[in-house]
Amino acid sequence: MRVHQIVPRLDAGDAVSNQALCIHKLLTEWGFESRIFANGMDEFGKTYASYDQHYREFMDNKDDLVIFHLAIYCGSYEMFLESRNKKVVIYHNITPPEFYECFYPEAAHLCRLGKDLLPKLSAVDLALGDSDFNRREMVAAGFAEDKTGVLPINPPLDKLDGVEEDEAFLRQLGDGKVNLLFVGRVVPNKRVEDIIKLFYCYHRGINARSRLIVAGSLLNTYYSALLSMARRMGIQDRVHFLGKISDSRLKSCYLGSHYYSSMSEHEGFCVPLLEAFHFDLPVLAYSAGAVPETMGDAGVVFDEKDYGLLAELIDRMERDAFMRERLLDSQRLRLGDFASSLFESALKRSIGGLLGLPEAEPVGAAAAGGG
Amino acid sequence: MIEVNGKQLDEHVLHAKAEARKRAGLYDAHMLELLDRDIVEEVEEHVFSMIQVVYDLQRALEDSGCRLEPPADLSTGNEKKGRKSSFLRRLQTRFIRAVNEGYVQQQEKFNTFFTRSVDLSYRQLCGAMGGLDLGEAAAKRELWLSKRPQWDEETVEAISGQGNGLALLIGIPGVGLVEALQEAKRLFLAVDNSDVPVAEAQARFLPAWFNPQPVSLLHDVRAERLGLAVVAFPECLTGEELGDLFAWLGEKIAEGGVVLVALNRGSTDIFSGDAGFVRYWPLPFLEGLMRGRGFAAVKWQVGDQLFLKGEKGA
Repeated sequence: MRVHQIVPRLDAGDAVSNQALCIHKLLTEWGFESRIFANGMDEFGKTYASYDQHYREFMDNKDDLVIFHLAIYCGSYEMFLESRNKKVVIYHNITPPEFYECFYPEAAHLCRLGKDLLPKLSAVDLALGDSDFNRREMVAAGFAEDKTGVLPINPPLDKLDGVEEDEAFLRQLGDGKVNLLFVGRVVPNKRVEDIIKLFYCYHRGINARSRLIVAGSLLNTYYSALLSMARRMGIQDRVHFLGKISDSRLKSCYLGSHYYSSMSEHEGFCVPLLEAFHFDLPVLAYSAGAVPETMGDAGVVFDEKDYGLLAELIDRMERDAFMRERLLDSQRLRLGDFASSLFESALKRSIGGLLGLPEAEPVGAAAAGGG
Repeated sequence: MIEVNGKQLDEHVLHAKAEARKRAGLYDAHMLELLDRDIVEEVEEHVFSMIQVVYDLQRALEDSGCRLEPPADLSTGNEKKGRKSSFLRRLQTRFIRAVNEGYVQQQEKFNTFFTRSVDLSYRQLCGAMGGLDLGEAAAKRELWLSKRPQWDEETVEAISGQGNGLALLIGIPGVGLVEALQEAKRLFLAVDNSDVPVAEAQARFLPAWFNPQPVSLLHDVRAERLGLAVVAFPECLTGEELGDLFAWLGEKIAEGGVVLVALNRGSTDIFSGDAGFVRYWPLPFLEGLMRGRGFAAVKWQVGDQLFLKGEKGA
C-alpha cells in the first residue's frame, strides 16, 4: 500500500515539515511505500520530497492513502479534493488574518483563504489536529466529530541533541547576564512586542544585566516596528534578533538561556515550548490557543499580561532554586508525554485502521487520543 | 491568574514588590506609557515610510517608461536588452518587490538577510551603538566599563551637599552616592552605560537605569526642581552627547544649581588600551561647554578626586 503526504512546503526546521518527515519515517519502517509531495521546498526538502504535481499519477488509486497537511493556503488542495485515495487531513491551524492585516495584507489574504478552505475539506475519512484546540476548530468548521482525532506533534529533539552547539556563541551568552529567550517566526500573532515589554520591565526595574534573544525568521514590517519600539524603550542593544538560525546556533540559544517566554495569542501546538522543556529552561507562556494543552500542568501559564508581575516572577525564580527545580521537574515529566514511542502508537491508533494494521483502533476512537 | 505547575500562584508578594519598585521610581510614567503603547502606532509612525519611498521609486520608474515586470507570457517583444534593463529587472525582483510584498515564505532566507541589512542601516542612521552580533567588542567594552573606580565616602558626602533640589547622575561611581542621594530624597535619576552598577542599584530598589546612550534618555523624562547634575565618567560620552547634555542641563537647572564633571585623567591608570572607548576631554572644551550654557566653571577637589564645577548664574 502506498501513502502520500501533501505539504505546502518541505523545509528544514519547520514544524509541519518535521511532522511530515516523522510520519514518513514511521510509515517506511512499517513497510509502506511512503512519499512526500510539496508545493515548494528548500535544499533540505529536496532530498525527501517531489513537487506536488507529481502526485497526479497516484490520484486514481482507491487503495492508496493521502494525508493533506493544512497549515497555510496552498493550491494543491484541489488535487486532494479530486483524489480517489482514502483521505486524511492533518490540521496544524491557520493564523487568524486580523493579526497580519496591519503589517502584511497579502498574508492576511492567504490566511483568510486558508480558513475558508477548511470546511471544503470536511468530506474525509479522518481529520486529525495536532492539538484538541485544532480538532475542535475542525468540528466547528463542519467535520464529523466521530471522524476527528488528535495527533500531537513529535518534537524533533533528537535532531537538536545530535548537533554540536556553536561554542563561540554559547560563550558569548555565558557572560553573566540573564538571558530571556523566544524561538519562533517573528510574526504578529506571536506578540513579540509583549515579550519585549516583559523584558523591558525586567531589565529596567529588576536586573539591567540581562538580554532578550529572539531566534526566528523575520517579517519585514513587523520586525521594523519591533526595532522601533525597542529603540524607543532604550533597550535596542539588549534585544537581539538573530533571524533564522542553524540548529547548532539554536541549540546554543537553548543551552545559554535562562528563561523561555511565549506571549503568542494564537498557536496550534507550539513546539518551542517542548524544546525549552527539553533544555531545562523554565517556561512562562501566555494561555492562548493550544498553549495550555501543550504545557499541561507544567511551567508557568498566565492569562493576563501583567508585565511587572511576570518580571517579578522571573526574579523570584532567579532567587528561589527550589521553585525552579520543581518547575523543571514538572516540565521534564510533561515532556515524557511527547516521547517518540508514544507518537508512534498514537499514529498507529489514528491511521492504522485506514492502513489495515491489525492493532489499530477503529476510525473515530482516535478522537480521545493525544496529549 | 498565574499558574505554576498547574496550581494558582499567590501573587500578593509579587504585586507588593512591583508596587514598591514603582514607588521607588524604577518604573516611571514614561515607561508605563510605553508598556501601553500598541505596536501598530510604531508602524504608523515609522515603518511604512521606507515602503512608501520604494513604492514611489517604482511608480517614478514606471512613469518614465521603464518596464520593470516581465510580461505575463515572458515574451521579450520589442524590449531592448542591455545592462540598464538587466539592472532594472534585478532592482524590481530583488529589491522593490521584496519591500512591497514584505514577508514571503518562499523567500525566507532572502528576507532574513534583507531585514538584517535594513536593521543595520536603521541602526547606522539612528546612530545607535552596538550591532546585531553579541560580538567581542561589546564584551570588551563591558569588561572595560566594569573597571571604573568607585568614589569613597568623603567624596559621596561632599557631593550630596552640593546644589539644591533634585540630583541627576550620569554615570554611577558606586551605589553609595545613589543611596545617599535617595536617602536625602534628592535622587531624580541615575543612569549609566554600564549595567553592573545599575544592577547593583536595582537590587536595592534604587532608581538606576541602564542605557548605552544615557543622554538620549533625558528627552523622555520630566525633570523639575533639578539642582544638581553629576557627570561621573565624561570620557564615556561622545562630544555630541556632552553637547546635548549641557544644552539640556542649561535649560533644566535653575539659578544656583550645580553641575559637577569628574576629571578622571591621571587617577584612572586602569583605563588602558582601547582608546576607542575613552575620550579624555580637554579642560578648555568642558569649560567652554559649561560657560556656553550659563554655568560659571571652576576646578574643585575632594580627596583625590578632581572635578570641574559649574554654578548656574542668574
